[in-house]
Amino acid sequence: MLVSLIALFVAAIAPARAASALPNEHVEAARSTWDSASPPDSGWVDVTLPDDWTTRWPRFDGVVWYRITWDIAKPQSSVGLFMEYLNMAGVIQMNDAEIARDKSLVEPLSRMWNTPRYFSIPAQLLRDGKNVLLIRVSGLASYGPGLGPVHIGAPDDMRAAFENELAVRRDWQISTMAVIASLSLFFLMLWLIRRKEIAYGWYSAQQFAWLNGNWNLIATSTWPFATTDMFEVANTASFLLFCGCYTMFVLRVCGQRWPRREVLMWVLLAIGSMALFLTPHDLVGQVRALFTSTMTIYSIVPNVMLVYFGIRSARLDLYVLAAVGFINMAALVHDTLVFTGVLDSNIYYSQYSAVAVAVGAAAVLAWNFTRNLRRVESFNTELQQSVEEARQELGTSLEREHLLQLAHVRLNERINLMHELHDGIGGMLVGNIAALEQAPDYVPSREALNMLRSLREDLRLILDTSSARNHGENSLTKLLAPLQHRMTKLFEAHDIEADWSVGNLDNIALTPPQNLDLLRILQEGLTNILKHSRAKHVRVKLSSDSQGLLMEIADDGIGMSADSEKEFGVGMHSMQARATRLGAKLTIDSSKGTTLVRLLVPHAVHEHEVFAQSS
Amino acid sequence: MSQEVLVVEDEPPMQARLLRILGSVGCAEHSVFCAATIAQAKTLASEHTFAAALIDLGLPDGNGIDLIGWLHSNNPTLPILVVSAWSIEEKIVDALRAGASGYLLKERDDLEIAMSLRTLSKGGVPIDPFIARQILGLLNEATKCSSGLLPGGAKPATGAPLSNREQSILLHVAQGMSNRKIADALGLSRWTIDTHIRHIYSKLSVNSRTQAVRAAHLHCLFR
Repeated sequence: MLVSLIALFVAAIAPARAASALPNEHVEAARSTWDSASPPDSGWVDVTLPDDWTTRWPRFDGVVWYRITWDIAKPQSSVGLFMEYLNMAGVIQMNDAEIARDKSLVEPLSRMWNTPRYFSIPAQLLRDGKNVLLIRVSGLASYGPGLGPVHIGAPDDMRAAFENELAVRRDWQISTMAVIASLSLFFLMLWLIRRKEIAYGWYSAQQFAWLNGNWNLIATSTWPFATTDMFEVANTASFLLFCGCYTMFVLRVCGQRWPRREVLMWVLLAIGSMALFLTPHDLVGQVRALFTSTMTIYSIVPNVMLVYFGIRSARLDLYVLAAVGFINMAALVHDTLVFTGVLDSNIYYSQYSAVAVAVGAAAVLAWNFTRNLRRVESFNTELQQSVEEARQELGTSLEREHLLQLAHVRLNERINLMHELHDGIGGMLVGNIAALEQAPDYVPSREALNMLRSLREDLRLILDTSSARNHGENSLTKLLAPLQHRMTKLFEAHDIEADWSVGNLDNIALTPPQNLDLLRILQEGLTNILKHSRAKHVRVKLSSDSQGLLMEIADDGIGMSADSEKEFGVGMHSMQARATRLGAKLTIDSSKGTTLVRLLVPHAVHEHEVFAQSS
Repeated sequence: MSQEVLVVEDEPPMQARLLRILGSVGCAEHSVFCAATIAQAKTLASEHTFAAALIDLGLPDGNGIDLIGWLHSNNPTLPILVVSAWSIEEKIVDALRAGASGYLLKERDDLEIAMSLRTLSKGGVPIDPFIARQILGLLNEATKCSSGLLPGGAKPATGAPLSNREQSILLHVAQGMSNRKIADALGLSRWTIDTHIRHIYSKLSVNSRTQAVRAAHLHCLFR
C-alpha cells in the first residue's frame, strides 16, 4: 500500500514538462461580459500561462478570452492539444471552429477547474501560416480564475502527457475516495452494530467529511448547491468538520476524554461554519483562504496528540498510529510552509498523507477488532478447557464418592454378616458347647445331630439372606422366598398342606439383622411343626397394618406334647429371646386342635406412614 | 433305578452319604460307580454307559464344570446333576450352562436330597428361588442388550431367550412358591412346569450350534 502510494506520489511530481517552443507563439487575454459570444476587439494584453487573471484584474467576475497564436508551415498531419485546466468553465475554438463547450458558462458555473483536456486537431483544421486557438473562460475572482498551461505538439506526446495529468488529477482521487468510502462504510457498520466502539464511529465520520471535501476535486457541477459560492463554502465547512472528527477520533482511539475542550472545539467549529455560510460574495475568497490555512495549521494538533499518546501508550497499535500521525504532521507542516510561501514549491503533500492516515488508522482499527475476536475465541477455548477439567474433576470425585459408598456398603454388609453370625451360629455354638460340657459322657447322637442341624439351618438362613441382599433385595418379601420355597417342599414331602399368605409388606422397614431375626423365628416355628406337631395343615400369614407387622403360624397338630416338651422348650426359648430383641410380642396359643404362634412387631412401619395415619 | 450311575465326589464321607441316599431311592450299590478325580471319571465314562451322573464341583484335579462340559459334549442326553455345597449360585448356573440338567445341594437333609433324586428320576427338575433369580437377571440383561446394543438393531436370531410362560414360572419360583403351588396357580400340570424348567435350563446350555450362538449372545451381554 505504502509503496504504491509513493509510486503515485512520484508520478504526480514527475511531469516537469518543458514548455514546447512553438514558432512565433503568442498568448494574450482580454476581458469581456458574461454573455459575450465572440472575442472583444480591444483590450488585449500579453500574458504567460498559467494565468490567474486576478493578478491583473482583481475582483473581476466574468469572462476572459485567451488567444494563442502560432505559425505552422504547410500542415500535413494533425497536432495534439493538451490543456491542463481552465477555471471554471469555458469554450474552446480552433481557427474559428468550436472544439469544446462546457455545460454551464454562467452561474452556477460548470466546475472544470480540475479537468485536463486533450484534443487531436486534424490537419484540415490547421492553416498554413498563422493559427489561432481561442479559449473563452468564465470565472469568479474568489477562486483563482484563469487558464492553466496549454501544450501543443505531436499527438502521441500530448496524449501521454494528458493521460498522466488525468491520472493524477482525477483517477487517483476517485480511486482513493472509493477506498476511503468503503473503509468508512465498513467502520460505520461496525460502529452501528457495536456502539461501544466509539472510535470506529469517529473514524467513519472523519472519513465522510474528508470525502465531502474531496468531492471538490472530481465534481463537474455545483450540485447539490445552487451557486459556486455555496459549493466552495460547503467544501471549506467539510474541512472544518473533518478536523473536528479527526480530533475526536484521535482522542477516542487513544482512550482520552476531554469533555470541556471537546465542546469548546465543536462550538468554535460550528461558529466558523456559520460564519462561512454568512460570508458575502466579495469576501468569500479571503475568508476561505483564512479558514483553510487556519485549519491546516490546526490539523497539526490532533497529529501531535496522536504521536504523544501513541508513544506514551506502550501499545504497538498506537505506535503505528503515532507513526502515521507523524507522517501526516510532517506533511501538514510542509504544506503550511508552502502555503505561506516559506518553501518555494507548489506541491501539497497532505492529500497523500491523508490517505496514508486513513489506511493506517483503518489497519489499526481492524487489527484491534481481530485482536478482540481472537481474545473471545481463546476465551472460548479456555472456557471449554476449564469446563472439561471441571467435568473430569467432578467425574473423579463422583467416582471416589461412589467407591467410598461402595466401601461403606461393603463394610456395613460385613458388619451385618458378623452380627448375624454372632447372634445366630455363635450363640448356638456357645450354647451347644455349654450343654455338651454339662452333659454326661454319652450324648445321644440324635441330640448332637439336632444341635448341628440347627447350626446348619441358621447358616443357611444367613447365606440366603445375604445372597438376596447381594442382588439388592432387602425387602422382607424377597428375603422370605428361599425359606418359603424350602419349607413348602419339606411340608409337601411330609404330606403337610402349607398355605402361605404374604400381604403387602412394602411399608415394613426392618434392619437386616431384624429381618433375619424374624426369619429365624419363622424357621424355628415351622421346624417345630415339621418335627413335632403331626399336623396336616399349616397356615403362614404375614401382614402389616398401622400397628406393625403381624406374623401368624397356625397348624392343626397335637400342640405341645409331653415327649416333645424338652426340645420344644429349647426352641421356644430361642424364639422368645429373638422376639424380645425385636421388641416384638410373641404369643403361643394352643387349644382346640389348633396351635397359633403370633408375632407382633410394632413400630416397624415407616415413620411417614405413621404420621399420615395419625394426622 | 437299575441303571448305572456315576458319582464324582472326592470326599469319602460325602461319597458314602450319596451312596446311601441313592440306595434309599432304589439304586443298587453295584450299579453306582464312584470317582474321586476327573481323570477317574473320564476313564469310567469311557468304559460304561451311564444313565445319570452326579458331579461335585470342587475336585482335586480340576473343575467339575469342565467335566460336566466334557460329559455333555460326549453324550448330550446324559442327565447330569451338580452336587454343590451351600448353593453357590453362580457356580450352579455355570454348571447348568455347561450342560448340567439339575443340581443337588449338599447341605440339605438326606430326606430332601432323596426327594430331589426321586423327582429327578421321575423326570422332574429342581429349581430354587435363587436359581430363578439368577436366570431372570441374565434374561433382563439380555433383553436390555438386544433392545439397544446389538449392531444394526438386528433382532437376535433366537428371539427372546425365554418365553413369557417360562418367565412367569421363574417369577413364581423367585417368590418362593413350590412347583406344585405354581402348577395350581397357573393351571398347569406339574409335569408341564418341569418341562418348562428343563427348557429353560437347556436354553442356558451350550450343546448345539444355535444354542452356542445364543449363549455367546447372552455371554457377551452379561459381561
